[in-house]
Amino acid sequence: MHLFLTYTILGLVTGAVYGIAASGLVLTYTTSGIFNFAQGAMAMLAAFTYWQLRYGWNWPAPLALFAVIAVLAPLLGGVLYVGIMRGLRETADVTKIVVTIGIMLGLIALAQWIWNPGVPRTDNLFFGEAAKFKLLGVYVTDHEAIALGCAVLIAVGIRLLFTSTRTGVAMRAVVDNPALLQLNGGRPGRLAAFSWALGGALAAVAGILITPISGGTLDVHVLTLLVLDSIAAAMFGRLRSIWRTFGGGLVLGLAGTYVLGYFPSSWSWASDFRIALPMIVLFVVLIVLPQDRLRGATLLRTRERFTVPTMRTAVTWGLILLVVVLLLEQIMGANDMGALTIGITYGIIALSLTLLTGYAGEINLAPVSFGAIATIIVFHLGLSGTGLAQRITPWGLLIGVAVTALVGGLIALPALRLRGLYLALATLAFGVFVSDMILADIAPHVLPIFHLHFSIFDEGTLQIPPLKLGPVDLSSTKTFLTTSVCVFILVGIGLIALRRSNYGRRLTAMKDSPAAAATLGQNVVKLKLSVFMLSAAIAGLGGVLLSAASASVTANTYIIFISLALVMLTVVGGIGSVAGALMGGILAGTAFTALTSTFTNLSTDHGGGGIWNTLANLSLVAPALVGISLGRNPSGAVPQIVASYRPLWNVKSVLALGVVAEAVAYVLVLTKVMGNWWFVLATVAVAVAVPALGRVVRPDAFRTGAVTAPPAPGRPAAQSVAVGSAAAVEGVADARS
Amino acid sequence: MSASAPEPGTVPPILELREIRAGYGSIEVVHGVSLEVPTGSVVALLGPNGGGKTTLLNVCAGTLAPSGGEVRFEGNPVTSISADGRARRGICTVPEGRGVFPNLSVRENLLMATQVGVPMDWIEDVAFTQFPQLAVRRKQLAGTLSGGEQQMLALARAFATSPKLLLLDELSMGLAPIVVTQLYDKVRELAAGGLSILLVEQFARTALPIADFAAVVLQGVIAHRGSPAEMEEAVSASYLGG
Amino acid sequence: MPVLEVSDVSMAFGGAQVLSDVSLSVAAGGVTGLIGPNGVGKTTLFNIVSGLLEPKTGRVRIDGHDVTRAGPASRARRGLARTYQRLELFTSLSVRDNIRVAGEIRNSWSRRGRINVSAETERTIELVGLGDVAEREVSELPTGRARVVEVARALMTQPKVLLLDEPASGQTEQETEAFGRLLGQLVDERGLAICLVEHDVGLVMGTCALIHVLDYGEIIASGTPDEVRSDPVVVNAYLGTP
Repeated sequence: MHLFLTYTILGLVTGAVYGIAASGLVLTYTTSGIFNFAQGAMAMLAAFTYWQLRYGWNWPAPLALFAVIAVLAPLLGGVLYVGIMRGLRETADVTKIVVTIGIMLGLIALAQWIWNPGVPRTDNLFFGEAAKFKLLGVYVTDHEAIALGCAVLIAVGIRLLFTSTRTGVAMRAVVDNPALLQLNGGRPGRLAAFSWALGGALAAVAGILITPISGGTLDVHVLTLLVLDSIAAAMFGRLRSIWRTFGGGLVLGLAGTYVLGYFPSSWSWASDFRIALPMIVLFVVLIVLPQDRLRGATLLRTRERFTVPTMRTAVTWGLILLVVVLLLEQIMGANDMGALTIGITYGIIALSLTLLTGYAGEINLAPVSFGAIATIIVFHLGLSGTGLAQRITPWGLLIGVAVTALVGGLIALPALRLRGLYLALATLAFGVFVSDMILADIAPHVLPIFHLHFSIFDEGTLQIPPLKLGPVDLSSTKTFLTTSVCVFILVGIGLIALRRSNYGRRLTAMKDSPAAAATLGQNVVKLKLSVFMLSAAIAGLGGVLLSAASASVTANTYIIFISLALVMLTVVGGIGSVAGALMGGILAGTAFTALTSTFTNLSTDHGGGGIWNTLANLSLVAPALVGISLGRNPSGAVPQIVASYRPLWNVKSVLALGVVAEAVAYVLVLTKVMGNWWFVLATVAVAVAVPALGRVVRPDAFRTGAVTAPPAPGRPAAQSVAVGSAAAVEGVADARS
Repeated sequence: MSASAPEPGTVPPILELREIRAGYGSIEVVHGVSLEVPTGSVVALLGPNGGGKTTLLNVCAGTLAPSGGEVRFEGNPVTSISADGRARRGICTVPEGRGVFPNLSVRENLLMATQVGVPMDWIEDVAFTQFPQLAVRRKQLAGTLSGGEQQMLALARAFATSPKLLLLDELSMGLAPIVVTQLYDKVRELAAGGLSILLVEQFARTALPIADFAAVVLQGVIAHRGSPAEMEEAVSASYLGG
Repeated sequence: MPVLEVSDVSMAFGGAQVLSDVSLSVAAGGVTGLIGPNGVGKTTLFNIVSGLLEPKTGRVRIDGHDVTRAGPASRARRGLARTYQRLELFTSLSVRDNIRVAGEIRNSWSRRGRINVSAETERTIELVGLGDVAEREVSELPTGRARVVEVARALMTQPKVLLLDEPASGQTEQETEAFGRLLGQLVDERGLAICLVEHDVGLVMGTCALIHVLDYGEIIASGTPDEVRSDPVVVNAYLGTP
């Protein structure tokens, strides 16, 4: 009984903090329609800032608390809304999701920049360990009591806000009908900014409260993930009800401590299970949650625009890519080639997103986790030889990919009714589950009946040998790179062919209007399942190659943040195109590391200027900045780059000049006159200079180009054929709803 | 501003539309409509579905930006002023399909009306005097009210916030005839009190008796305009053919 | 035997009754009109017939088969096709591909033999007169022509019964005339059963053999165009009571 009480109190306290964080999520989502994936990172940043003020600069606790919770955190929330979120109207679900993911990754990078992760930091309980009292024979620390008290106050406070103040009632009114609120003289934008500020404050409270309870150590990723767990609580309330959200938080907290307390200690997976529990709960809650009816086309047409290249263009660009990589291989060192290979394999994983999200309109936030599954299968079933002669067999690769496709199907099957944000959250839950339970399963098991000894992720590190495809042995870095590029090109061209086929058109139809596709007789469930499996297979293929390219992999290779960064960068590159996937993959795998090391190398070359170090750190925050810019250009960077180069066809002289300049730089590197990193900089310079020069030489060519370019972003473009006419608008209420 | 100031001795129209073009995306629905609502009068826009009546009303309310033309309120241009800004200046809009928040209680719906700067006590007082049946349902969610009661709640805002102009869109939609009659009695009361009203209505016989002017909107232009008496036949033809 | 039979269908959203015991049938080789004022539940009825909504009570039969519990896809396989009042085009595809993909979807399920999609696509484009815009993005089309794309798309599934939800709204007069001729052709040459919801009087009166009038969730009149037009109940439903 004594033990039970101890666990109950601990569970209630954790649950209370979940509830606080989740209520912030619900607030911001209902009033602005944007699900804030950065809520956890905001909590983390607040915890770090509080530590800095309280322990770094020795501020008194009340002052530090006030500064973080009442000033800085709300300011961050408000600025995020006004600066970024407001610009996301009329964008697809995936764009909205990716922008807040970008903010999350940016805040993580920022925190690591400011607070060197190598230095340990701890937060103490409020009033210290000694401040505790006895309740029903169990010790409760003052800090725990404060956490519970806060949760109760906040729950009651939000309730009062929503029912007894005009602002709060207006926040509920926005959910019902923002246009009507305006007709009543209300300002939905201000309300959304206010709710983001409030959400920031709630994140800060959660972050500051939970750090000492969960051990006191400040860790960027752990803190961010901890609050990510609160999504499950928010889902209990269907992202609407504050009461049920707090209830969900308590259920989560209690379930977690009871698992810890009452599962037999011989179950080696019990502690992993406890960590994974919120995500398992999230997945289950999402699936049992009642869903809306089959959706028609969205009322407003989103701003994303994608074009599909012809097969000839696709093949031509494939060959160009191959030639460029072959040329680069001549000047690159083994390390650089290794880095590029990893980038290309990420690109192959990103192609799974091109198919799933770009073509079919479904979302998967955990593509790298599918790669992890394929890797584990290959490791256990697909290797031959021993020691240095060990290789992945083609059959092994095939089995790995096939099993991953099946797993993809299994995940998709219950999730098929979900869409948009809910589907994204389900895949996120799956990704974290894979990391927390499968990749954390490092202890040996004995298979009953067969008495077979095995462990899924042996000792936490797997050595993945290279692949051998008949005569092609990928043990050489150069062959590996060439082969990965070929695989990327083949899968990419295959996807374009698929998109141009009957199957691809049916996918597009389903994406644009599931209702219309269904009333034409399309079995939407079957189509979704097939595309999910195909996409998982591609992710699996890329994942095995990624693992082999990395040689030695740990659970961290597939951590959810890598998946999220890849998804974000692919959307930034352009989720609708193969080139976007290449850009996303290379950015994720190589460019940002390379950029950082370029600046670091330059700083050592020139006696270590502080500015280079700053630039290196900035380039870590850069992915987030890129992600955030999506609001202005939701179609991605590749279409924009293509648009800026297109007029150059009319200014062949400048184009030729650019090619010559690049060739000269290449020869200089080949003859060792110039270093590789200077070549990178030279290439960037040429890429920027060519269109600029073209503009100077032939301004007229660019002006006509501007006319044929897609409609200027920012302007609410073609709203829709969906609201085609006044008839449509006047008939909206034909259902008398 | 001097150019737009009214000439001495004349009262400017409370609302004036000049060559309004509007639509959705690249598709234009309203093709250059000019219309005036003289201060203190009731103007009815009639015609079949799809003609552009609601689009026109949305332009007046500020929920849809016109692609061309100008909207003037009390003689001043308001084309670039947001819907909530126009509401605070005294344009009260009851949009098509129940102008209430379904998941807010009756009282909370009235609370939202205070955002134009009228105290809650006053609003409740007027609303419950005008529509006593709302008083008993003050704590009920607006979505659970009958269609007629929902429209009463929407109309209560027009009574309680003393607007300068009322925009009414299809007050009768989906309601039984007897309820429609009751609602229009209330609109008549508002008009009698001197409120300027622009209303869109598909039931010509219901709307025409309280209107001072009427216009039939067909294919995005005003096909007929004139006194209510002249309009009924034109409307009938547009619905069911001659 | 009627191809489409709706019997005693009732529907309510929240507390509001939208349809009360609606029964109607659509026979092969003719256009059956379904008219009525705004907001009386016509689109709701279409959604119930095509399986996007489940009725509270009542049955839907297509070609003699009870499909009340069937999903939208299996109803399409029984020979039902429809268009949407609020357009549901595949906005990332060209006009031609919008039509083409419907044929491809049809081939993926049909047991009545596959069609030559390319040939059928061209034939349909020719039939409905979209040849000049076949390569265009559907989002660039004016509403009137976009509606024709939806009709063409529906035809590609080789349906037995076609539900048209305000196909002429947004069309010019000439377009509507041509559309009326197309409907006649489909009925005469293919023996199609068409159910038409439309506000354009000329089109409804000119093409329909039988017209059902829906008002306030109930069928208040059924008959030939002339009978309906002169029915005082119908006139009252449209013009309202003074």
